[in-house]
Formats: sequence, structure tokens, C-alpha cells
Amino acid sequence: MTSYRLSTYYPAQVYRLLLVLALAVFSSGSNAEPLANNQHRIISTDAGVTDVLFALGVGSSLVGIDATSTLPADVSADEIANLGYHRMLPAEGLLSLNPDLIIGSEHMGPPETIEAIKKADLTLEQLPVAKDEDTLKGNIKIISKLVDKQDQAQALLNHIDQTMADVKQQQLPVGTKVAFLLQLEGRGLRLAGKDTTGEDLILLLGGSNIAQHNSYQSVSAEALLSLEPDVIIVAGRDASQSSVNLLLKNNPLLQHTPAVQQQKIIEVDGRLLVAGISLSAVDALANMAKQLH
Amino acid sequence: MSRISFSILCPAFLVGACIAVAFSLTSGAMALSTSQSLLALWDSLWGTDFSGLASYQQLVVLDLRLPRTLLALIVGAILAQCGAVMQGLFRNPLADPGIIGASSGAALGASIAIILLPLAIQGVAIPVAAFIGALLTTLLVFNLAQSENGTSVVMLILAGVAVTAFGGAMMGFLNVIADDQALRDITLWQMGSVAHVSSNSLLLCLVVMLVMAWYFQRHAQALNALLLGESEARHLGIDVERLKVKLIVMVTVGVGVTVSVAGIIGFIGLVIPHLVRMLTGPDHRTLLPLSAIVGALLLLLADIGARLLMAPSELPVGLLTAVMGAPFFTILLFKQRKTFI
Repeated sequence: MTSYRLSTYYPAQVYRLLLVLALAVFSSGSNAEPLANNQHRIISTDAGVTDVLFALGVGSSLVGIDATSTLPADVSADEIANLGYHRMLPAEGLLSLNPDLIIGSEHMGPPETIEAIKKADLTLEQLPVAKDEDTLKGNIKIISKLVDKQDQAQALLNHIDQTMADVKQQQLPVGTKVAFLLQLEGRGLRLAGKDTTGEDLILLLGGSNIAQHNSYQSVSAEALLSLEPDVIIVAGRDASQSSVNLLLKNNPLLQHTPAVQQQKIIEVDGRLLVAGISLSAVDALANMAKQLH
Repeated sequence: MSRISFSILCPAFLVGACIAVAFSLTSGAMALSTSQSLLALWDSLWGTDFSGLASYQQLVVLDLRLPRTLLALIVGAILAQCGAVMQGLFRNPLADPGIIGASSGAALGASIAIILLPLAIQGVAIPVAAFIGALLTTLLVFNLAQSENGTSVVMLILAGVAVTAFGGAMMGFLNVIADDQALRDITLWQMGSVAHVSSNSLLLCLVVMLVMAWYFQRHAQALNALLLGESEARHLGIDVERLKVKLIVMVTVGVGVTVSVAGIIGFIGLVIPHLVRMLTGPDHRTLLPLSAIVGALLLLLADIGARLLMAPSELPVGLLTAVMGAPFFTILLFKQRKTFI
């Protein structure tokens, strides 16, 4: 047998990893932060909830968010811990932030983490994912009660009522066939099917979804053309370039759809889709209704 | 090289594992002092109250860190032993349980459960489907490799490759029809984690590990004989066919159970037996128990890393084992190159 020295068998990566590991271990502090009396320490594990908390003016109480939540431009991401994917939340990571209130969606998980939160006697609120403005308003009422901001909530509710009334005034003609497309750069198109936020947006605009399948599925420009959509909504991922221009550039065939010929093709920020009908989705709806009117 | 004797290595690694366990119980996203964490354990054992921790802090040590520490140890031990047995059985240094289709079958089973079954029953359905998937694919591969002349190792490996490829294609099909949330669930599940553990699954894994260790140890001499070659083993009075069937079934149960509880954790089964063989030599009587200890130790270290590197968020532990294992595997390939050319 050949002779070995361990060091020749371990590449530098392993040493580096062990070093990082050791550093991480020794840099962890020793005492948990005390809980302030007058302020909550809130964890939000849902993008929609995070939106509402900032709109209610309690964003500064947030100590942790999930991977889908976006922070307002003036809030530094360094101050708020990111706990990762909301269905795979780490129980200890969550408890280590010493929260007294955790708000998330019905999809929050895994079950072991939920169980740990309940055992630790923390206030946990799991809200339904909003598919319409009534659920959204219900969620806002629950959140505002939890953080004691009912007055601010009223203003939000009024804003939603007003905006949705405008949307209803500008509804699409009955039977308008709408295609909601998710544009993935370089990887084609995904068409929103049943039970998606894309479809919820179509229905709130008064249209009917041309897709008959469930969830988002890949679709070719040819198939889309054969469905003859009257309206096309494109959700892009990159806000810096026009999703409509990109779509037509990549799929010139779509020029022949009724939607493009009647210039009923509009775009919406793809990030709106992660949390159902959220506050920002309501504003986006108003904007879309205006463009299509 | 001069091999280190088992009587030195075994206690050394056991001490290492004990230190790692203490480390695992006292470190994590929540900052608790070492003494308090260990006292919490003492308190729970003897009903005392020395630690002075709040109940939610005790919960972190006893309900979160302790079970995942135990699961990491058990899963690491099972995977490393299964790897050692597979390598011995096939007399192939690159064999690991994945080669007979167990991992890909488990992944396919779990994906079916994640995509096609309602969310409410997934907690139970995913592990069960993963286990059934592992069992079915391995049985299929094994049947394909059977002929009147016995089980051909080459056929077994080729059938494993074919079934793994087919499983991959099925997974691809499922991914096409899956929604984005299910896709993300599958991806994360495949990277493995020992964080989600119930007392039932822990108990199941413990029983499997103990039965497996005892069973493999009983067949250690036969595996040693097999190192000489199949016909030589037959001349020594070993029923090689029966031995293969029994050991492969046991490996499948072991891998199936770990995958169902912790997802796919790669490279432990491949890397650890090699490491141990280099240290003490190829005798399965020492290789098997030492692999179990070193596998347990390595997976526990990887899990500590998974908890700490991005705290309070967590990394899937399978990522870290792959980061440690992949360079090792590459070096191994280069070492073996002479044999292949």
C-alpha cells in the first residue's frame, strides 16, 4: 500500500471550511438581548405581512424576515435577519432572535418549527394567503390588532376600498381572454394557470384566464398564438428593462395575437406574485386597469 | 504507510465524537453559554434547576439541538457503514449506496409526494414515499442483474446507472409540471437536513442503526473473504449469492430510512470508508465500526457548520457534506486513474 499523509489528502477547501466553522463558533456571543418593554420584536415570514407592517409604521420592530420579503429602500438589510425560505424555517434561528410576535402565512413550516414556537409560548399568527381584497383586509385587521395600530390600519383599508372601486369601474369587458405570462430570462415563458396569483389578478381585472391547467406551466409562442389572447400581462424579473419589449423581441410571433395588435399588452413587477394579493398588488392592479381601459 | 491500530483509533475518534456532541449541544444560532447549555441537559436528566435558563432557552437545547445531534450521529453512522459494505461487496472503491439506485429512487418517491399529494399529508407521505421509492428501485436493479449464473456486479452497476437515469428523467417530468413552490421544496429536500426530526423517526433510525451494525459485523469475515474474489470466497464456503442479497437488502433499508428522515446526504457513504481504510486497513471487522464512528462525527461537524455559517438562517447539511466530499472524491479518482487506464 502507498504511504499517506493526511494533509496530502485534504484539499485546501476543507481546511478553509473548518477555519470558517471554527471562527463562526467562537464569534457567537454569550448573552441574549433583553426584551424592550414598550416595543415588539416581530418576525415576519411572508412578503405580504412585511409590506403591511411597514405600511402600518412598525417596520422598525422587525427583527427577522423570510427570503421573499422585500424591505423599503431606506431600510438597511443588515439590521434585519433573513431566515430563509418560509416553509423551511430554522427553529433555533427563529428563537435566537428573541421575538415576541411571529406572523406568517398558512404555508409557514416545517411542522417541527411551528411546534417549537408554540412550546416556547410565543404569539404566532398564521394568516391565509389573500386571493382577493377581502382576505387582504381581514389580514390587515388582524395584524394591526396584534401590533396595536388600528388607526393606521383604517387608512390602509380605506385606500384599498378606494383603489379597488376604481379598478371595478375600469373592468375589462365580460369574456375578455387574458394570458398572464411569467418571463424567465433565457428560459422561455410560463403561463399562469388555475389557482395562481396571476389568475387572481386576471379575475380582479374582470377578465377570464385563457389557461386551463394548474399552476404555472411552460408555453411556446405558437401555443400562445393559437389561444388568441385579447390581453397579455407580462411579469418580468428585471425591473431595469421593459418586459413587454423583451417578450416581443424574443417571441416575434406574438405580434400576431389580438392582444398585441390592439396594444393590450402590459407589464407588472414579477415580485408581486410571491405573496398573493398584497398591498402593492392592489396598487399594481389599479395601474393595470388604467392602462387597459 | 504504517497503519494505526484499531485500539488507538477507536477510542480517539470516540473522544472526538464526544467533544463534537458537546460542541453541538452548546453552539447554534441562539447565544447560550456552554455551561448553561450542558447544565440544561443535566437538569432535564435529574430534575434539578442549575442552568437558570428560561423555558424557551431550555427548549432550544433539549428539543432542538439534542434530537438533531442524535440524528446526525445516527444517520452519519448508517450511511458510512452502508458505504463500507457496498464497497466491500462490489470490490469497487467508487461504489456507494447511490450506485444501486437507492438515492434516486428515494428522491423520485419524495418528489411524487411533494408534487402530487396535498400539503396536509406531506409530513407523513414524503418519508414513506421516499422509503418505498428506494426499496422499489433497488429491488428492480437487483432483479435486472440476476441471471442463472448469479448476480453480476457489472450488470448491477449498469442497471443502477440505467435506473438512476430513468429516475432522473421522471424527476425532470415532475419538475416540468410542478409549481414554483413545489420545485423549491424538492430542491431543498434533496439537499438533506437533520433539522426536522420527531422522536418516532429518531427511534426508528436508532433501531435500524443498531440492527444494521450488529448484522454487518456478523458478516464482516465474509466480506473479508470476498475481497479475495468471488470464486475464492465460494471455495472458503461462503454462499456468495445469499450474502449479496442479504447485505443489499440491509443497505437499502438503511439508506431508505435515512433518506426518508433526512433527505439525500451525499458523500458520507463514499468518503468515510476510504478514509478509515487508509488509516487502519481493509479488515471489515475494524472498518465497519470505525466507519460508523467517523461517519457520525463528520455528519455532526457538517451539521454544526450548517447551523452556524449563515445563522440565524440555516444551510442544508447535504451541501456541506458535498463541499467536503467532492474534492476528496476527485483526488480519489486521480489516485485510481492508474487502475482505470
